[in-house]
Amino acid sequence: MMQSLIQYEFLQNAFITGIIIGITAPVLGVFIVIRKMAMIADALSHVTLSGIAFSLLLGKYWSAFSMVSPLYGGMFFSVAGALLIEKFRSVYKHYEELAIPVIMSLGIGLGVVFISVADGFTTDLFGYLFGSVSAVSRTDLYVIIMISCIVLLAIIGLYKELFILSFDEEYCRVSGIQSKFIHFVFIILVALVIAVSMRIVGVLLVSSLMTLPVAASIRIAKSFWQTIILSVIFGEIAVIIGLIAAFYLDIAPGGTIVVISALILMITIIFQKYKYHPEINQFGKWKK
Amino acid sequence: MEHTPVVEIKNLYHRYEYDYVLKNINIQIHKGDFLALIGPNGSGKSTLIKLILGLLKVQEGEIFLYGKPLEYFRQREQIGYVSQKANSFHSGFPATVFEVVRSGLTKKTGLFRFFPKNTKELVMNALETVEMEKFADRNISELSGGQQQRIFIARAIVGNPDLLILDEPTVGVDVKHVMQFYDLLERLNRERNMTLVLVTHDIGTVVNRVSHIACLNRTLHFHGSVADFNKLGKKEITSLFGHGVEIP
Repeated sequence: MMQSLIQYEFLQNAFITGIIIGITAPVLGVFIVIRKMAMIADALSHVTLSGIAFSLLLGKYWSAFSMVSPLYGGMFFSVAGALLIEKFRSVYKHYEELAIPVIMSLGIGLGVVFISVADGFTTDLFGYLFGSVSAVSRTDLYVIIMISCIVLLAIIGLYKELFILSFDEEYCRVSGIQSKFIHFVFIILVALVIAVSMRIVGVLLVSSLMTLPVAASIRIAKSFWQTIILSVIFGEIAVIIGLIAAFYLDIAPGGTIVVISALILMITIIFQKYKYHPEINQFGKWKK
Repeated sequence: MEHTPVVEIKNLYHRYEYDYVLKNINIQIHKGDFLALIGPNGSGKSTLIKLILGLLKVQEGEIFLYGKPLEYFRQREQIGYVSQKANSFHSGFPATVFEVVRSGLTKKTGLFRFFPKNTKELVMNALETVEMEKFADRNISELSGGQQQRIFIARAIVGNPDLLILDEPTVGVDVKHVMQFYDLLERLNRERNMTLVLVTHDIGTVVNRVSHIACLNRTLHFHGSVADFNKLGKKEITSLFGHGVEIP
């Protein structure tokens, strides 16, 4: 493994990207899960797919575009999708969650249209859907590093505000914190991380890297800070083992990463049940 | 500045659709006042509080905070707030009591800044005031409703606000702790000269502790000191409140 890592640039790119998104995705995921916005991540990832399909389509007809990484198209669509969701939520005040299925289906719909118009792609669409160990170029990697740094700095800078917004939105507004602005920045960050993560985990599974590690850590963490740290640890374990497995078994990494995340989740559920509630007997019932 | 009222409300009207819940409200709350805002359900108490806090938009009339029109008032950290629902927050939230109380310093600290160095001291002081310092490392969702409510008071006072607004804070708190709770408010008012606005149903318990009383039932039926309030006959009081208020 180490030798292949030294030998192949594409593997280095994949692993560095994996390690980075293993931090950013779960960190944002903590806020997403706690604010019950997991579906937004899903909707945005589907919009990202349409962005990728659109750039591939452009690339097919204008050769100049084929040089441009579909990462940008995905990112652009993802951010636009985030803005649309926000707009939609303010239009349908009493049905805020309606924004999510609308944007999600629009994302898939557009994606399918672009793919059909292009009459299929020579590029491996499968890789975009489920991730790939060989898809990240060096230039992509630099963009990913840059975007991730911006995201992490923003999260550190707005940590207090994000905490209070997630914990008690009313109190946040009473305190005079610009909750709308914070929420807006947050949604943009989510859109960026989704676009950045999709090369490794794939569009269809990117939201799981934001939710599964958090679902696991929330069961055992005692504090908010611990929730974040544990989520990142679980995310990293899943990404690194997932990438190694994907490389050796020739499986799309999205699949292996998600399966390992799910395993971690199951282990924490079992661990928590017996560690913190020893009064539960072997049949899963309270002894009292 | 000494005579500038902390809160001044002038000719305030508010309606939902076509139904006025507040009509012609005029109130002045001064520094160091402990005002009990009482009235039956649907009397507009919470609406009035939400308007003062800026959670609802003023439709007609004016509200001044520290002499400034509400929309220009920026020093929100001067105001502490404890809401009605002990469970308005997301229960099951993985945060410690310490983290929750610390979040009360968010606005004061400012965007893109870390909490100040003496944060731990401030948080522990606030927790000591509500006698919950032993719970600092506990998860907020493990506590009882009454304990949580005390934590939310700690969150509201950690930034040392000048005005503390409490919207029916004792809902869901057991009787034994309600008294302790009011003792705590009285102490904050006396020792820190904190201005308090307490929305409550429970007039019998608070009447000996507050300095002023305002009776609201869409319009303001009475606003004055407790001494003036006590001069009112029982019949007048009943007509002020309608039903559903415990009268001593």
